Amino acid sequence: MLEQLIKALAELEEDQVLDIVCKELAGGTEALSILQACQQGMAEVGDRFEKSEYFVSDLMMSGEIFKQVGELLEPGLQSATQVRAGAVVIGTVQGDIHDIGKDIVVNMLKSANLDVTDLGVDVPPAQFVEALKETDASVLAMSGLLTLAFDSMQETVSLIEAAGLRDKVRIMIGGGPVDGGVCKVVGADDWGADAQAAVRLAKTWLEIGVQA
Amino acid sequence: MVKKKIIACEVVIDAMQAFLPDDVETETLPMSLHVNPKALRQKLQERIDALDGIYDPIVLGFGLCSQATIGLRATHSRLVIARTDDCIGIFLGSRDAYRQQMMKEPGTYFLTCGWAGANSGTPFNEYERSRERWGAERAKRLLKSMLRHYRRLVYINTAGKEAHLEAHDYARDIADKHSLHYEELEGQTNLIKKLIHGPWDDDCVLVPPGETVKLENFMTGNT
Repeated sequence: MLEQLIKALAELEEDQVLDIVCKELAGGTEALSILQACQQGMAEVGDRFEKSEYFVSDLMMSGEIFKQVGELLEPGLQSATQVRAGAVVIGTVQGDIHDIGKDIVVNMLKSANLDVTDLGVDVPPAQFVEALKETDASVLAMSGLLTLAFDSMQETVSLIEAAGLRDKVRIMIGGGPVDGGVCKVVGADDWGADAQAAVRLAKTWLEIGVQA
Repeated sequence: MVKKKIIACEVVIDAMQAFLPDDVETETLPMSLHVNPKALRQKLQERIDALDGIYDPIVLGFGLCSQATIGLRATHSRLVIARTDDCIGIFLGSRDAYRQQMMKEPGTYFLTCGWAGANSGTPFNEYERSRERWGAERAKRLLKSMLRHYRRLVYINTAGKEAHLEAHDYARDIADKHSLHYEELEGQTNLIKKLIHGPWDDDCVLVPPGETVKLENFMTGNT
């Protein structure tokens, strides 16, 4: 059935995807397995776009379907959680308002049993710092779809340093144009190519702690 | 004396026409490449390789363009690129001017004459495609979701193109249809002129022969 789910998402069959997800949930399949299958479907959509078989509108549709899957899975994930494994602050940086990818990461971090503070979009550096202080989170995830967002990421890292929090917080970045080069330039610790990578990073960091 | 050559996106070349001396050679790349930065980078490198050492500098009428220009390299010629995120920064005159606009209202969609046409790959343009594929209701929902945080549509009056009136109407109509606040900004020509004539100062990325275009060049300038 999960194979069918991957295929349905790759084919952008919205109704079919949502139908399979509901059935899988009702049948007791773990939400994370469903998410992972959807992620595979999304990767297939990305491949088809690179081969020019899909258009921008197809990417938009895949994002829309994936967002709905995330919403369907969230209640189940929430009820399954017990003691939070750690705290993460997340947001789309100042000057950028794109949140489809960020919201997927939020859902997946929650599903990984983490205490997630989502600051939304267009988040000024000072607000990130404030949230880190308030929540005592040791992981910060910054998202941005525009290359203009790189400056805001850099400014946020600088402000975290100035606030004396840099040693206590691991910083990851993500979003369409983000890669290792951007990570280095803005002064983050690492970056994620997709939502699963973000979760992997957060879990690794929280398990090993900072400067352990 | 070795001559310069300009390779520009079709959207940018339109705005350059009015300032191009007769003896400057140009090449135009299709705007459709912008949705696939890897393909754009590959195409640009192919053209640079073909012109390397024959022309100097090779001027790219592009910006960072989703990092498509990062990693480009010429062995014998200098490369000049606009130090902006994309062509919107070129039309607004600088990276800082673009950033100021985004800080004022991050939920801004920019259109220019070149971007108002068919097959431009904008969400508005893609709406027609998705309507054909998924029907009006889904297409509308999709666009609404994409534009969730967008509040403003800015039309930039760029130099050159004659079809401005039509593009104006298109932009105003789009803003109206999607409940976006409509604004017009006068395009600046300083960066376009600099790309063509120099000086290739901090508004441009100037890469010496044998060096690779790096993200740092765009973030902090040439120093």
